[in-house]
Amino acid sequence: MKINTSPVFTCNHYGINNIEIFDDGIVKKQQKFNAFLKNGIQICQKEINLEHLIKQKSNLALEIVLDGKKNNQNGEIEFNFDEKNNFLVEDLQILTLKNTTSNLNIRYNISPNAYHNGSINIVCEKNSHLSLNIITTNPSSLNLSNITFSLEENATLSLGLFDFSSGKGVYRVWGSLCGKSSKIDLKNIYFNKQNAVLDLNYYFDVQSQMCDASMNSIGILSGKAQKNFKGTIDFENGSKKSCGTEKEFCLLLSDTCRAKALPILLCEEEDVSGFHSTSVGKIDKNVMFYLLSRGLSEKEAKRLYVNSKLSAILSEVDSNLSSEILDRINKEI
Amino acid sequence: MPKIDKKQISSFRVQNGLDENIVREISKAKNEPEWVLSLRLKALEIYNSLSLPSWGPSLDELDMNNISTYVRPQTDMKDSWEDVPDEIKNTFEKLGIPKAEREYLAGVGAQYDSEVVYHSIKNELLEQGVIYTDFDSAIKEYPKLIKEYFTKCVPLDEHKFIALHYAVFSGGSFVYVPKGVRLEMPLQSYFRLNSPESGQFEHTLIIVDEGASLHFIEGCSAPKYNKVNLHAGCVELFVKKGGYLRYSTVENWSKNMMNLNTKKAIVEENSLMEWVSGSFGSHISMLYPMSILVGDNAKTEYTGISFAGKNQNLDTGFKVLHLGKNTQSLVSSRSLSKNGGVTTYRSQVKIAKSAKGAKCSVSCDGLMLDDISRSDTIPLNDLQNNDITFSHEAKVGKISEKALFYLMSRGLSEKDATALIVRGYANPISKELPLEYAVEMNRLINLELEGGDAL
Repeated sequence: MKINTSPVFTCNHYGINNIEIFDDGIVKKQQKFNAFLKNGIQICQKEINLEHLIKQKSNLALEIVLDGKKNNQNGEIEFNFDEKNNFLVEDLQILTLKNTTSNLNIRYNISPNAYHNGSINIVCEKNSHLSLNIITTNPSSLNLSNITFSLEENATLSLGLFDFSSGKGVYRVWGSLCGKSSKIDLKNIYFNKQNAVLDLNYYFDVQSQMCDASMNSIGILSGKAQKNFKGTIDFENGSKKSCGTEKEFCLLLSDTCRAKALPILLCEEEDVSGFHSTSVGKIDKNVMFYLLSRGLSEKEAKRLYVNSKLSAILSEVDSNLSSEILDRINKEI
Repeated sequence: MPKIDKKQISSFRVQNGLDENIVREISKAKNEPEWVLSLRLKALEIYNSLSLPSWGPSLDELDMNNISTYVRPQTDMKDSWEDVPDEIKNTFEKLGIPKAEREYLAGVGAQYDSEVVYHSIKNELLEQGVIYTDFDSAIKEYPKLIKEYFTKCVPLDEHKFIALHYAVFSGGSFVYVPKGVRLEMPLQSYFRLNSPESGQFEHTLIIVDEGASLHFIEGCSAPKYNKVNLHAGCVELFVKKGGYLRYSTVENWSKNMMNLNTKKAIVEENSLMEWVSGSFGSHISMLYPMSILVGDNAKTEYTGISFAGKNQNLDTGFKVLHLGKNTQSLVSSRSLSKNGGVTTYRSQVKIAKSAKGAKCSVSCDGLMLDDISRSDTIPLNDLQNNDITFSHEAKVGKISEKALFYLMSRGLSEKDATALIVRGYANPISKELPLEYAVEMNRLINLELEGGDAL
């Protein structure tokens, strides 16, 4: 089955238009999956019955309405997989009410030989601000994540995607900036190793005036990991005075990884500013030499180098989360 | 600018459409060796088996049943302009070709519809062993060289329109520059497609041997008709060890032309391949020159500009494949769109596992001159080893209001200010061309800004 199709096709033999996944062998379990909800977050968990499972093909559905009140301001949801609970097809609806500010972290701690196919739909009402971080750990499983969003006037969505994987991860983040002066800021950090395959497909449809669409992806590949990055910013007619930025940087730690990138800018509106940049490389020899000459060990030097590359994103993320991400990456290096 | 007569002066024209009989008719008209006919027929088979690309601009308007793939003008090839029939000679006079030849070219090839009508090269180059002739003659006079290189850079099954090209190719140039020979003056081939509902399928094959150097210029134009014309030419370039080749093109096909050209270069050790490209014409263009850096330390540079006006969809870009160690590529592309024109920058950079130490930098900018046009950027990067340095950047937007305000405050009208900014935007490309071609390119830019058609 080919999924995660790019909004704009290129030649088929480039192998980036979509990604093939094989989920025939996965045992689809028809049982509920229980999410672990922290910080007293108020949510509405839909009752799932067997009929619903069969019809909707999901085993967890949550409606999260963030009204900015204290007990909904900083929430955390954890999906912890284990041997018994290793099949999750969830449907999350997140609504941020107007004139509110909320933070939400969602963690997927996926176990080996598991299957995750999640759908998150985000609606940010007028003047609302949502900071949503999704942290995924995936040792060897298939992880499919489809995130859609719609932003009303002056709404801001700050979306952090953090992926630590040796398995197969497919992320699709598609959405529209419908309202004037709406803003999406996607920050993505990944560390993929061994035989990991990561397919990222981000599409921001800028429909209204004075919007700001930004995607910044920084990743590290080691072992035989592979990554496809497809980022699209689409300035539609009417998106005057909007701006869009795509940045992608990938650090290759081994000779056997492969990085493909397709950063697309589509523009139908004259009075916009669009920019994209991608760069790929290894750890700079000269920088390493300098750090080693200052008495750092090779490991310390590598960590410092990597940390400096990640700082562009981590400096804008909550400090606790930032420390957690750095610790995890430092352990891997 | 003097108007050029559209009067039809062909002596022979195959019927519209494409089938085995037509291919055989073309081959017979050219009196070709058997192996060329076999190649044509094999290409036809491949053409019939391949489908149209699933990406890029729509090619629905192209109907091969309405295209004649071979139109022979009422003359054979001459080596003196005096012997070329007046109607054809006048066309090229108005295009400035004979004048250019007199003043600053080492040799000229002029193709009219499907055949080369004029070819010349300065004697001193002949004495150095330089070969510059039309492709049909080269097949007969240099079979060994042709067989060694022909189709080796661009294979028959690369895509549908290359297969079409190989089935019906006619005309084009063959250039061989021997080892160590450095041509100080450029060679030029000019292609004029004068017949309506027809195609031009010229094949250009250039071999720059070890340590040699050449600047080759290609120009093209056609009058505008209401029916579709097709250009599916092919350019194969071989730059041997230590060689240098600059391939410059100023393309000004008419706005009814479908330009589906293929250009590729194989660049060997320590050599440099430069592409300079200006695309101003065509109704639809799909043009992606490519360099394959097979040798260690091979380098390539691409500098290009495209300007899409009303009813134009120019899907252009550059492809580079790094295979050798320490190879380098530098890509700089600019595009302009106006009056509803669509420009798409589409590229591929692939750095293979073997290309340790490779460096690549890509820059593509799009400038939109109104809010009814479109500018898209679709660059693909595929990087397969970690010992590389790669960067890519792109921008899209409109003319800076501050720049416009500044120029207008200095007394320029908005129109003149816009033209000045646009010429400045195109300057990195025009300065790479010989002066006369830079002037021509600026003229084409001005015409586009005014919404006119060229010759």
